[in-house]
Amino acid sequence: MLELRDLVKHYRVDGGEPIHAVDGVSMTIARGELVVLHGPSGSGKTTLLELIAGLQAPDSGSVLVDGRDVLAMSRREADSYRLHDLGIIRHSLPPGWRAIQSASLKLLLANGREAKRLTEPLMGQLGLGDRLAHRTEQLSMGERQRVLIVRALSNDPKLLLADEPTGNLDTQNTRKVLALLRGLARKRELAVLLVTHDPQAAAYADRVHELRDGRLRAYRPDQGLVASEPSGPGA
Amino acid sequence: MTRMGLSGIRYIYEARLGARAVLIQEGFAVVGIAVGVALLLASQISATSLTRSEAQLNTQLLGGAQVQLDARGPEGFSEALLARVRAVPGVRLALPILERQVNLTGPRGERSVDLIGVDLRMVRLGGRLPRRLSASQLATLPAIALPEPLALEIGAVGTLARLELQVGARLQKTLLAATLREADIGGLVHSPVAIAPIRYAQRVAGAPGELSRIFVRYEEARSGAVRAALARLAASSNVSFVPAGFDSRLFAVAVAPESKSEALFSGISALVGFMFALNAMLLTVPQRRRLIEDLLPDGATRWMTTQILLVDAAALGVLGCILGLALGDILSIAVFRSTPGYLAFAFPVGNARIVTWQSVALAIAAGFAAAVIGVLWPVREILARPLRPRSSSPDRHRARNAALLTVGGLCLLLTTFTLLADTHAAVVGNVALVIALLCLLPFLFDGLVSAFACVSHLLNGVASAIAVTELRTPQTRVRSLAIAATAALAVFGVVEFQGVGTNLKRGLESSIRNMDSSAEIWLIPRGRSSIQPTTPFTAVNTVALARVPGVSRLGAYRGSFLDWGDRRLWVIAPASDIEHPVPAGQVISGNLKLASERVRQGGWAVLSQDLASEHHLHVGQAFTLPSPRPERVRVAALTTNLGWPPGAIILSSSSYARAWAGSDPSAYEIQTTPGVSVVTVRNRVRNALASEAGLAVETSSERERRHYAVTAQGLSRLTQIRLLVLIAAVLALVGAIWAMIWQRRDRVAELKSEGYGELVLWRWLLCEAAVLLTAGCLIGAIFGIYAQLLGSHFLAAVTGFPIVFSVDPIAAISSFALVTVVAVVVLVVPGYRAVRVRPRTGSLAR
Repeated sequence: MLELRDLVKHYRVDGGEPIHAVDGVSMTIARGELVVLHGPSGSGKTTLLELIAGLQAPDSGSVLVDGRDVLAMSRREADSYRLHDLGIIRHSLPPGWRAIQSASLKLLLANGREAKRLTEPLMGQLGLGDRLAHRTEQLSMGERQRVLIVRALSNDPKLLLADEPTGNLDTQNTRKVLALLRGLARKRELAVLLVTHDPQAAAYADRVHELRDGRLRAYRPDQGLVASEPSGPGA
Repeated sequence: MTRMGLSGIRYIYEARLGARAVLIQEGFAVVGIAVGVALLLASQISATSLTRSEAQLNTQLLGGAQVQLDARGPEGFSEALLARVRAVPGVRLALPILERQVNLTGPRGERSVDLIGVDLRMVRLGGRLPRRLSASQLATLPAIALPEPLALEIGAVGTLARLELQVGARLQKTLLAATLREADIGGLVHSPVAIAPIRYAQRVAGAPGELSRIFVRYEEARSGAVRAALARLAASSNVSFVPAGFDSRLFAVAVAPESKSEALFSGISALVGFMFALNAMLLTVPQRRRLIEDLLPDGATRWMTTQILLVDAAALGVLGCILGLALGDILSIAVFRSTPGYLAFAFPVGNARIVTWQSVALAIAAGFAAAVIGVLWPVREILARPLRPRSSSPDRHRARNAALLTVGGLCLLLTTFTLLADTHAAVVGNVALVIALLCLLPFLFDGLVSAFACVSHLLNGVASAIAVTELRTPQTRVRSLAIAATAALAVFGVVEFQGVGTNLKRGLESSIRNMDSSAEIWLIPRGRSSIQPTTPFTAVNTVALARVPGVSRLGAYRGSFLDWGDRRLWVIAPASDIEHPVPAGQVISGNLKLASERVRQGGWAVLSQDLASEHHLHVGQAFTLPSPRPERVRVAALTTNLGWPPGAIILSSSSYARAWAGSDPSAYEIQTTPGVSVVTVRNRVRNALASEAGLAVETSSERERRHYAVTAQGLSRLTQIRLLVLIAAVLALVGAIWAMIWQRRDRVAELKSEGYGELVLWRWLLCEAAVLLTAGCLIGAIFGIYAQLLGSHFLAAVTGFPIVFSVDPIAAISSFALVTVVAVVVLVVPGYRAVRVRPRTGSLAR
């Protein structure tokens, strides 16, 4: 489903050394797979997600989704890719919005008037059926996270990117969300890339990687870090 | 292809407004747009009202006349010319008019008006003027008709109400035949005119068998022959042959300086108003950025995002414009009240507040433009193609800074060039100066914040340290600059207008002092129009007056108006033995002492420089004065326009007597014996003239005060526009500050959760606002002082007024202090309320 080939993205800082945010990353994620990406702050995780989403252009390398090169897409194709094929789970909801409004926003861009009607069943499936009219401030942290998941899934994507979806949750809610994502990946045959600091996520993942200094390493919590996987230029 | 229709956009819009913070910020943006629109509309109304009023006068009075024969002097010409005009083949109608400047007194007050004697047959020309009066009323009643507002002003209520007319020094009773409404005489209803049958007007004016004008309508097919014949008749009778609407041209020349001045002030006000509206929109940038950053990753196309933003802009624009138009209307009614006093001496000019569709359209267009630009411009980079490789941030930052500095520097150069080379382009210079201000503001702002940071470091205060940190935060930079820019523009406008106004005022005061101090006591007809004594009256017993104890010298002063080309000139002939016939301090070219001697001896004239330039005259050159009896004179010196925009001419009394074929005075100039109180002599003269009820006696000081009050009235619109800018500035700043405080609530909550107390946080908010406002006001004051020079030179070049060129630091300091203090005071309570929020960690919004 998703294939990254030797992605490189460096940032130039005025008067200093360039920052190697992504330094030759190669990776594949198949449908139904949930891959977790760990890494310290500033290791390039968010940059990698933005490259996959086509929101940034890399210095070199390619991002293939079902064989299509995201970076070679026209503006219109890229917008369509983000709208129909990709779902992104964010950190937070806009303040003051009702739950159904936040959840249906993505579908609204695609389907206009039908968005609300089409989103309600999914809200029910995730236990938010009686929270549709609640505003963001009236939802618990776990409920907000589920609204964000509904929004990301509302257009039935093939690829799901999640950037710290459990960052504000307690242990119990974290487990619920991780289990939910795991179940969705299996049931809907989604390719899921989950970026998180949370060590609990490894237990729900098919694979775990670590991104450090822009380079990708395989990671197994029971074995610690293993030798670097083929990654980087010339690997 | 995916489509999100209007319903989808509305859905998103309603969802956004669900957040109270967004709703309030949008409300502030609406207020900001409204203030800008109000200022723009009100200043445009001010600029158009005067000119349009005069245009309406001629429409109402003339009907379908094509040409007129116009007297060159106040005495008019013989009625015998009327028969000769009517005898010209091709003339269909020839209508006589008599005009005199009179003083009208009623139970509740007095007013100088233009008495217009008309002939019934004007009705045939299509003029609406006399239809209200019946033929028998006009033909038989010794009475006048007045516009209703004027009648009410002087307390003339009811038909046949008794009034008093003063012509020259002569008082006589009259009756009110009818009051005329707007339906009767259109825009003329707002003008100071009194209408009477021509025979009665001649009797009242003491001018039997005299006319001021003859309006003529002729067959178009014989236009050439008719015009040639009428021109010959005019030349032989020493009258002017001009188009029927010629007074409009004369008025346009007279009002041109004021119109251009108002156009400059209005233009600057409009620009400032637009910037207020734009800055209010820029305060809402953060929440719009968040919305776009939220939508783009979900696949929103650029067009979808633009649609959403444009609907935002439209909603804000509509609300802001509606509110702004209402506010602007109220402001224009509340602020604009005065009459163009000095112009009323030579033209029947009223004060109608006229709102043109162009003014409204311009205000609306500016409001919407500010909304659209404010919504789209700050997010243009986000809307750009995300897959386009970006240049690195430091390079982009450097390039932007370089561009700003370059544009700002070039604009400053352009302003300087305008100041040195072509002050007529002051509007361009001002626009360039405003652009320079906005381009250089970020750098100056950063410098001032750094200076404050140094001071803060020395003071070691917590609140000031937080303020410095927040002021340097990139996320709030746009907002901080928007507030600083609002303050800068506000002070810029006020400082420029106040400084220019002060320079103009000082120049006029000096001119008036020079003019009125030629005599210690003035004997003049009663009424406002005696400020420019141009109405002759029967000479008094000067022998008896000269014997009044304390009177040293007594001389007759004469004055008139003379139409020369498109200028209605003020003609002055001081008393022959006056020591300084030429006002000191007003001479631009020539020697004052020599010019005074020459004027006294006769055969010489002093001209205004603009007048001389127009006719290519220089000092020493001879020319023929187009007076009722053409007079050959030589130019003794060139002066300012003595406060009369079309220009002035100073002659000796003997030259005047020959040229105007009349020796009746318009005033008397009296010098007192040294050592005797001027007030005492004034009282003695008053007692001696007790029987002359139509005459007034005043000292030169009293006259100066009265003179200045009337002259200043004509320039009061400039003061009113300045007041508008100040009101709008305070409103815009209050809105901006409140919006800033509201946006700060999340940050306050975060800091509270970290343990900061309410007092510290409150001081932080005040400190930050004070730094923002001080920086903005200081920058605005510096640029405003530069603009004072530009504006003053512009006024001098355009108006010909005697202007004193100086920089008014008091204006800068007082404006700076006023705006800063008011805005900070306004902040106290909202700031206190803001720090009472509950502490919380993090913000719901990213």
